[in-house]
Amino acid sequence: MNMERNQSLWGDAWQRLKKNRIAMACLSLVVLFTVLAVYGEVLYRYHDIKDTTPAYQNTDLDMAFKAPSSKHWMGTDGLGRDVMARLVQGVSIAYKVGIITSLIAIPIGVFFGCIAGYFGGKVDDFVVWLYSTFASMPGLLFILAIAMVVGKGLLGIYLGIGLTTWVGICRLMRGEVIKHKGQTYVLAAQALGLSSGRIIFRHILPNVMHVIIVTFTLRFPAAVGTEVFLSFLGIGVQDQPSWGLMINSARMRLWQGIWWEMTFVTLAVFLLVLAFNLLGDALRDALDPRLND
Amino acid sequence: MLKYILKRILQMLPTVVGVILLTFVLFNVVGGDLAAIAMGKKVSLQSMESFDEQRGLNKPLFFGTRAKSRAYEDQDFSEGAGRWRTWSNAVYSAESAAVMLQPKSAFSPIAFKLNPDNDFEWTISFRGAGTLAGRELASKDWKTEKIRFQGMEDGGFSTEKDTLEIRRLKLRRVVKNPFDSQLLYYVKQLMRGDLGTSESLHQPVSKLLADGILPSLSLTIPIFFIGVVVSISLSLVCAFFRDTFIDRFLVMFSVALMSINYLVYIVAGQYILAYKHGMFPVWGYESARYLALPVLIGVVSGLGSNIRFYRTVMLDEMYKDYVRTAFAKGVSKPRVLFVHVLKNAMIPIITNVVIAIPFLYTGSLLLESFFGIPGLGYLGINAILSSDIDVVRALVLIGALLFVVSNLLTDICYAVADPRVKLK
Amino acid sequence: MTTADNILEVQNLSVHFGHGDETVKAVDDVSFVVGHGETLALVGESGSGKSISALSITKLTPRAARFEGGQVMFGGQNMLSLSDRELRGIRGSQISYIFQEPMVSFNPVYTIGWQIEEALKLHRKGIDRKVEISHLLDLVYLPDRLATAYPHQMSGGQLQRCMIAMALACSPELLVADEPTTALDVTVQREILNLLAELSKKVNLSVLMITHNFGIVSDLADHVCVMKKGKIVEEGQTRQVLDDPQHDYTKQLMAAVPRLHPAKGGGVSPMK
Repeated sequence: MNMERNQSLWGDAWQRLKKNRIAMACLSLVVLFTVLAVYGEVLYRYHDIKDTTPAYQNTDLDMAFKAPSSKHWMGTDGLGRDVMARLVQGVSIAYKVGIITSLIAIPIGVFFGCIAGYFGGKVDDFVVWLYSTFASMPGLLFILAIAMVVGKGLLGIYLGIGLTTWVGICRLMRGEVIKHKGQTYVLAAQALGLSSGRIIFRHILPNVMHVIIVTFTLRFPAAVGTEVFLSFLGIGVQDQPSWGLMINSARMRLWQGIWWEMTFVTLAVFLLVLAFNLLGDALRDALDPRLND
Repeated sequence: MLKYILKRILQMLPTVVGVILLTFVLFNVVGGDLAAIAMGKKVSLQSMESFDEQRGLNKPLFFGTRAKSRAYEDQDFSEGAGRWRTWSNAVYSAESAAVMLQPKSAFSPIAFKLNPDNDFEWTISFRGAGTLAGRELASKDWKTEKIRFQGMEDGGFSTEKDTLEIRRLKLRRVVKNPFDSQLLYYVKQLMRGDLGTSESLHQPVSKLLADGILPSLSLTIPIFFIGVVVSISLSLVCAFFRDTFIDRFLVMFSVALMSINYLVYIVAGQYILAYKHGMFPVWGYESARYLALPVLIGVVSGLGSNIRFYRTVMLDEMYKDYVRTAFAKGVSKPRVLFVHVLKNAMIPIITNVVIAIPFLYTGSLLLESFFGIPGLGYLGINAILSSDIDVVRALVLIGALLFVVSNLLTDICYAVADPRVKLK
Repeated sequence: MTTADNILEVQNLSVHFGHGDETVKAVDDVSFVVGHGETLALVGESGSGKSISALSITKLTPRAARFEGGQVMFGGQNMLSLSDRELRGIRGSQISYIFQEPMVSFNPVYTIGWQIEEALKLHRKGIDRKVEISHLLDLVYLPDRLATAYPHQMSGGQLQRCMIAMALACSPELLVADEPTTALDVTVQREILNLLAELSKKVNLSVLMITHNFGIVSDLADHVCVMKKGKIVEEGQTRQVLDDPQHDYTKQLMAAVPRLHPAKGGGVSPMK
């Protein structure tokens, strides 16, 4: 019975989403970015295995700072590298950060949120204490501090963002599970003598899945933005073409009128973040059970 | 009311403990070798030891009777000879993963003079015969022994006729009081109000904080107040014109504002407004004029998410039944909005506003460094970039404690704003 | 078509939600009248359009509602063509409402006295409002001291009394009661209904009562309109409808009534 309700919930949501023209535009943009990210990652792996220099790393000082042309659609940077190729590579870094930090933050948040909401009492007290402690930490500075002690590079970014952003999900899940705990289907499962773990993860979790999906869509752009920021500071990505690094190098040249790298990179960041933000909003509206009433 | 406040303060204590623990875990446990992070690996072991000593890092983490000493750092012989390579009378054999001390040799692997007041302990796995720290060692088969000696004694090796093979060697300082740990040291330090010393600036952290707070506040307080007023006003406009073109436009506008990266605001603002058009000074901290652009950027960059938040709050209230009752009484729309809805919306608004207070103190990390405002954000970024542990830790810790206090303030504001709270 | 006997005449009212294929005709060509000093009951299950009809009278309907035709005649003017300003002058002073959920229908951050006073401030000038508030609370048998209480400090029954006091504050001509007892305990329901009946007689009030409960209809209403899916399917004198329901839907609704007072008004006896 739960399954049916779920399917119709997703089906209805999809129907609603399809009618929302802005959401569909954002969805196609997200699909496009995803394809680029996969392409960029494959390219990187290919050259990594073959031990060759990929096109986006090819330097050609004669070609430095060339404005957009038919050969280089988005121009070249200070080392004569093609901005567009690097931009595409940047998508895959952004996606890696968005996905891996989610893989760290969401399971932690969901797990603690579920057990706190379901068991209540001492467990709940502990989880609430834990997340209030983490929530008290000054956001960006805390991420920077984690990245600092873990060391420069992507790992520091993954851990920094991942270990600080589970709090929001945890809070949301705790609230949702508390709401569901009193519902009949949970009481029925308890009456059947199912184990708590099974009730939480097989019965309640599928019913609050939409919260996780929406959270993922909305935290993804935030993680990407933070990565850009950290790489810009030189704490994150070191030798890959990250958007943050590109903005950093383009910033200096902007003053000399070399506008293309800055423009295209910021545009790419803007479009990716905007698409995810709008899609997340539309998903929330489409999935929000309050509107289904 | 007083009782309520006291109760809230009591409930706040576990979080304070949590915050202190978390900063401790982050820096002392996860951080691993802080001296290496702060000074790099190129400095002498002795200066690292004194770095540790100064920060209590040469103690056990939580509890224990033994602590590491940098005078001889553990190494795994199965991975190579390490620093034993440099001693000519010690021969490394990769096959047996051990070093062999030649007959008639004497040397000390201790890198610098040990503290004479402490006791130390060698743990050695050996075969053959020789002397370590004045104790005779002799065994045909592999054997592990512990040798305790005083810091002023010679802790080195010597061999006579035979060779001595060593497979494992560990040096530990004996801790007299097992509770004398890094954690205790940290807590004691905080109790004294000592936040440590900046490694790169050679100044006490508390002085750096005191110097930076005013510039930070001069930037963040205007951002804070202008931001709150502008975004609440715009969200009221949204609520008033909800579902009309104006509302939809403002919603799209705020999502677009949110999606622009913070860096872009700064870079574009500095380049276009200050550099190209010369409307503002580009860099510096000399007069109020220098603050205008950073404040503008700060306000605009926060506007998007704030409008969205406040709009949601207002609209949530607009759909409540009491609003319909007010309309049914003949109350006008502006009055419903300003007298009925706004007072109810005050509760989430207060939360959002008060919670933002700790960020006033950290300032805006990037704004300050881009515009050369010598505040705490500037200090923070530089500390991160130069791995200045004590400064970063102090900034994180104080930021967190301020957050906890702000939470307390929020609760007190609730009690004032919402008549329902007092009963709970 | 307005006759002097009727205080309210709703003619061919249609209210729709949504567009295109998804249009919901919440109120579909509905007409009814409320006579002076009379009580008309609009009966139907939830979703039948009775609440939207009631809210339409002073255009309190949700924003998404569209008026697709018809008129609401009150005091010689069509309410649907009045400006917002003119409507505000009528709401609360000539037409008052009582809503279903007293617990959430008051603003939680203001005292009861403040909220009653607001109605007085808007529509009645030059009176001693303090005295008037205590008089109003008196009218609904509540002690004066409750004027300084906040909604969360009171029970549902008390709040509904306050709601009645607030509705009567400016001596309205028409009282619209939208399921005034549904959210209350059964024992409290009776008290509120008795109070409403007593007060409407005392001040010669016309009442439009929205309900799904035929028990209430038989006690209070002079006339009945039964609504189903946005249309009126049966109407008439209460006695006549109760004794001899024509439409199957009416019969079903009557059968669904839990019998509070089986002895009273034999017409409510359930269908076999």
